[in-house]
Amino acid sequence: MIELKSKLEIEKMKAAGEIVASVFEALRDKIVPGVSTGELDRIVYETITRQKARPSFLNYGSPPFPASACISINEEVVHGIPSFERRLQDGDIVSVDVGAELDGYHGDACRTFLCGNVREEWRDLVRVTEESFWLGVRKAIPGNRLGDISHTVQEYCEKHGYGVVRDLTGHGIGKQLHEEPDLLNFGRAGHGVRLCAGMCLALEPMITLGDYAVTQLEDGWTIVTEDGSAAAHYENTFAITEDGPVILTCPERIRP
Amino acid sequence: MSTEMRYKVGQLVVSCKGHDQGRLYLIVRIEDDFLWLSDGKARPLANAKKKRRKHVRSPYSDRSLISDPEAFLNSRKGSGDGDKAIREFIAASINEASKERA
Repeated sequence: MIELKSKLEIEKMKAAGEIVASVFEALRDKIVPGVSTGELDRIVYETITRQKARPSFLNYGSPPFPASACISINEEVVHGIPSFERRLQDGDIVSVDVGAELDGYHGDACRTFLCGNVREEWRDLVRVTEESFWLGVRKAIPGNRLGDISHTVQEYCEKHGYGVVRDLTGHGIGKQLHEEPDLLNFGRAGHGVRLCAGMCLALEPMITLGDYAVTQLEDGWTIVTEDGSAAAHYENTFAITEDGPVILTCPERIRP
Repeated sequence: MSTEMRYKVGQLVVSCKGHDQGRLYLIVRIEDDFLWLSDGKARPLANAKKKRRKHVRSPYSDRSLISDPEAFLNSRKGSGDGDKAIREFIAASINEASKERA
């Protein structure tokens, strides 16, 4: 069942979302060659807990996710496990996925950062992935359908020749990190659940330079592209209101 | 953090769209966006149902996996035992889930 949120609940989710956004600000100048992903995760944990919130991902799922952020590099699509042994290299693209729970409500977002001098082909992938989010979220207006969002993301990314990952999806969000419905990054316009005010969703295009097939590593979490091509990921939590979507994890761009 | 729609042959899933909504099936084949599903009864192995992966869900996490699904399905192919085994497996999974809830 899809749980619709009241204005008060959306305000609470916005507060959680602002904490997630503050994490990205804290990380922005830390994504440099030589830094370990474990160190980045430590910054994520401290930024969240300093604001009296809880990292949503820590101990989430089965096996329990062992960190506060999913940090995925290059061909890793999502759910990369941070480590003090793993250091960023010049030219990497680094997706940092963060969730925070405050006052019983979650915010969830991801950014793909460029580390040093990144090849143009990968820069374009990161840019198009982000653009596909903003195009998709514009369709999140009452009366439209979920498929309108999904189709927009797919069409834009495939137009650029990229792969749209099928096995992982966005989701509803609120009191739980993952709620109904699944929000796919591919689909048919005019199909799926009808959107209405009060729905809170996380749209997260996961886009690859090659084929869309992915596989999971033996750690039980990290998802990589099967063909080894680079992948980018961009995500925000948003609420659908009568006036259209309101982005809850990106204070600098509340409206798409 | 994204949710997963990754499925394997031998995994138990529940239909969440269509007239068979709520029915449990075993995945017997996967191709692109489609899954072939059997419940060993209305949809036997020989006439598995083709369904979009987004129209099913995984009901009981890891317990929905047969340890060696390929061997399981191969050993029963064409013998008629496969459908019976699928029915028994689905029934056992429901029992296990009920016990956990109790």
